[in-house]
Amino acid sequence: MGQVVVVIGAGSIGIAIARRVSAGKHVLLADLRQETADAAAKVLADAGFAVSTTSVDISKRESIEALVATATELGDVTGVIHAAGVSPSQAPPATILHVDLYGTAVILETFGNVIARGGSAVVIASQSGHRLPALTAEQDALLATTPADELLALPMLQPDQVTDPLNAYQLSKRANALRVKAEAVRWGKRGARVNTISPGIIMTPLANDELSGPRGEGYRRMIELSPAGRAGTPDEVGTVGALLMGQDGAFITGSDVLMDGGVTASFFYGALAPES
Amino acid sequence: MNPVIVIIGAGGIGVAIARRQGFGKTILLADFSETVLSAAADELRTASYSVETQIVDVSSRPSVEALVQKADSLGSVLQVVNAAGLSPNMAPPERVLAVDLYGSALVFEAFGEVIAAGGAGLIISSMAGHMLPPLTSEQNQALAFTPADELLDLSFLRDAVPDSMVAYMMAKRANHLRVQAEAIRWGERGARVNSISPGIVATPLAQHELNSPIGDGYRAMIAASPAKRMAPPEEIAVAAAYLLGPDAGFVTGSDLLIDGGVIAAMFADRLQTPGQQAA
Repeated sequence: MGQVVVVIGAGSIGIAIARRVSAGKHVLLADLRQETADAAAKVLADAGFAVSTTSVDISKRESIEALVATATELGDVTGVIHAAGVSPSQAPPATILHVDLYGTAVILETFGNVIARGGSAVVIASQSGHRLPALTAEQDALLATTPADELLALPMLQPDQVTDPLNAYQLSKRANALRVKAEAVRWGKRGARVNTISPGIIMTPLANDELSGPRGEGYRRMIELSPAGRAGTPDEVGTVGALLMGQDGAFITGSDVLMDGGVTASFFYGALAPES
Repeated sequence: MNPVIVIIGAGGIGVAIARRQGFGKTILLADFSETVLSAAADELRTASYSVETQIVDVSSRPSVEALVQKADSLGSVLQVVNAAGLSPNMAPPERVLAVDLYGSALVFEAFGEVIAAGGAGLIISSMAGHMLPPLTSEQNQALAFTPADELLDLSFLRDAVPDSMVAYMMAKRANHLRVQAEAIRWGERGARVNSISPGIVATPLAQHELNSPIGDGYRAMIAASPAKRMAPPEEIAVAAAYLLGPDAGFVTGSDLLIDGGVIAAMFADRLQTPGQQAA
């Protein structure tokens, strides 16, 4: 049986990484919307990739477990690209925590039980995880190691603590990187690796919508005042994904690569720093 | 058990490839010279690579077969890089053919019996292989497919090689042809095989040549080439990493010329092609 690369979330970033790492392997594309997965699969198939699709709701353990079963039937799971999530403008805080924080934890837990020796996963987090002030060591440990099904019961994640969607998103993305650190230890026992990428503004159809939407002005300011002075492309994330998932990244595990054109640097120490 | 990468030839290019490729693997480093081998192995071990060594004479079948056996005993043989060779000013034509032509054929043949699925082989050929005028299709067929042990009996190798330079060009052309033939056989095991044809790479061997009677010819090549410089071994290692790795999954039986444009300059008549009169 051949090698399988599972792509969760058939958006531009997941597809860009998949294109870089999946030649000669089977791509299993999963998205909340089957038609999104099918449309992306057609583009990949026309480019010569072997692809199949399925739908998945990553806020539900049974749905993720079904995806794991489908993947293992196709072959050895040597790659997992988790690029699914909801953004702060798309959902209320509870939904964001459920999908972005809990869903990611379940994905790392369940694929960590089947990943092949030498396999590797990347989780797409966000620069937002780097905006949040430092948590306490206890909070870090709780987000990293609490069993997935108990995560949303943590007092720090209750509605009185997490009041707005942006905060929920930042916490979820911080939790993704922490979770990846903890899982790197468990995945390492199988000879597999797992890492996080925290992209900034990447030009996807979603980002284009945002740029022409009500928050467009804020986005444009972020881009203009960043050291890079431009937005990133999905292909640049694909390059980092290929490094992390491939042989050249063999010493990198439990790590988080921030790639945001310097927006975070500028937020802390440059022109994007909030007025205090 | 870690997969094994075999590096034959512990010179500048072989070691650069070992460094670029060898982490997380067991490196089986082989060379003709004990001194060169132990110095290179020490250097790699100091940088925390896991290194095994073996003396090898690629022109001797028992020696190559012993190397294959050793590699096989260390783990799954995932990559084989043959960077061993004699340059034209180091030896008479017979030795150049024995090492660079017969030896390379032998290494491909012997390692083709153990290479792992998903594995890859690479021979460091030379731009000299691109300097030779076209051979006849019979000669191409003969160099590609003649069993290794009968290669040196081919009449056009026995009787029509006037000097070491022509022997060298012929051997390096034969590498390209052999790679095409072996791509079929290695492909049956799910493995790939390719060659790199470097130009002047700044190694101790190149320094030796720059200080030899052919040094002026080398300097003329550098001056007439578009790049106007030599390459550090690391540039060859980057190309090797590509050809040995998953990004090159569709590349087999191929040759990659990396010469700073020296062959282009010869084609444009900005440089004389060595051995042109003889061929």
